[in-house]
Amino acid sequence: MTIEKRHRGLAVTVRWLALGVALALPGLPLAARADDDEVSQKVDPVEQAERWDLVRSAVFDNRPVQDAGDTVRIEAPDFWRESAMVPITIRLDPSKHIVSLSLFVDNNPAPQVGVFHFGPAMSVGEIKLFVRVNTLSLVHAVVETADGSLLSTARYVKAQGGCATPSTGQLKEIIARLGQIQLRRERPDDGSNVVSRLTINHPNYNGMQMSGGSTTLIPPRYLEKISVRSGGVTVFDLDSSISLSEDPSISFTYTPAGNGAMEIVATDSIGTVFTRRFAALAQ
Amino acid sequence: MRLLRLALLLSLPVLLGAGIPDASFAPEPGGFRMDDYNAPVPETLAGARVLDAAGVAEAMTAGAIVIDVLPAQRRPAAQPAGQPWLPLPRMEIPGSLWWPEVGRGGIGAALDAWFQARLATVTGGDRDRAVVFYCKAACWMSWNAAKRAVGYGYRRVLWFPGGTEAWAEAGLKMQKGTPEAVPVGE
Repeated sequence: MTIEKRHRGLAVTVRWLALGVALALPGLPLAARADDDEVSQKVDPVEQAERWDLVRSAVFDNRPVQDAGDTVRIEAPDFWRESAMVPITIRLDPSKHIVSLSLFVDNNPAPQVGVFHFGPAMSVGEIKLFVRVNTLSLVHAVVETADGSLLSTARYVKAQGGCATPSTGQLKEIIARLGQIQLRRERPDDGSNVVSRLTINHPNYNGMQMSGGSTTLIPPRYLEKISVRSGGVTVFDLDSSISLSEDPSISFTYTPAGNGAMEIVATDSIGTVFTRRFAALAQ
Repeated sequence: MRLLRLALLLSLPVLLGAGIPDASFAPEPGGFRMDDYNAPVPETLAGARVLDAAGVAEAMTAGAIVIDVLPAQRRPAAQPAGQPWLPLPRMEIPGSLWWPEVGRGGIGAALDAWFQARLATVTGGDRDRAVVFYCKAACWMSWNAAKRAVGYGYRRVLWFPGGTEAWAEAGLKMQKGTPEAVPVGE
């Protein structure tokens, strides 16, 4: 419902209710406020399909992209208030020899969130991360299999304002924790694969944010590449963009290789390299 | 009569809060809205008149100037090759001027001066010329920009809180907008 309709509706309703309610129920406690965070956004499937054609051809040219069926699934909330940090889960069929995953928020100005290039130490399965969603959009996940096929799946996500939304933290605090890297790991009972969550403190400034109360745009500075290795063997290399959330947090599962030590290397768009090593998990 | 008015006043929170799912408005703050722009807006703006889509169309027929204040997308410098940059076209009210960034809570001296100068130019220095400000629904930037214009001394500031969503929903024509270059420091 549009704002001006709300105005009209309110005016009429107030007039009617005022007569009855005002006399009968003066001074009742304030009722819970209606949840009107969700702004009306229309879905035009034709328009969205055209948009995806544009994005897809910009990245994959004329390569055929087939429906992924059950090979790729996306889980995401229908509507998310914090549009600068929308949680997305991608489930991949481990039996399909998937070598890469590209994630898109179609209607973002930089639609390609990132491309994961999986290495031998990746246990392909579930990946979770947070993205920026500028407006109602289809989210597409496209995987490439070892035989060179492209498979795609999509779902709608509703959010608004992700790209220009100021970073949640204060500038000083953000700079103070810039480049800190955490890796939480848990060894499952069967002792083979390690479920983990990587968090890199970085504002991922997209060049469209203003520092709170200040008068200038914060220049873009965002993570461009995140590499994860186990015992020197690639888990994944991620080519990322401004559509990845600030303080990127990525959940994934890996199969320890070599001595099992983990090495994380992240490079941002102004050339700063952040590195951290983690010893192998104790047996 | 005074009792009735008092009763009305006391029950207003009930009326606003209960049973009318679409009727929540933010209170009008004293200053500008500084951040978190995509949120419920006030019902009013002191010194300005609030319009719906039909009202905007009418004002335009009568010669009002219409200004879109949505921020424009900027391609980040040094975007890696191969990463697509495909900003969606901004569909706006035909005949609009598009002045990005002037609806921020804080604007620099350069942008403030630019805003005043552009307003003076497009109104021909006539502070009684009607000027409409809008962006998107539930976005404070149009409210901020309109408030700023009131502060500059414009006497016929019109605010269209429904923005492009309400315009589209009214079935009115739209056109692709082109943002003007604004002085924003980086």
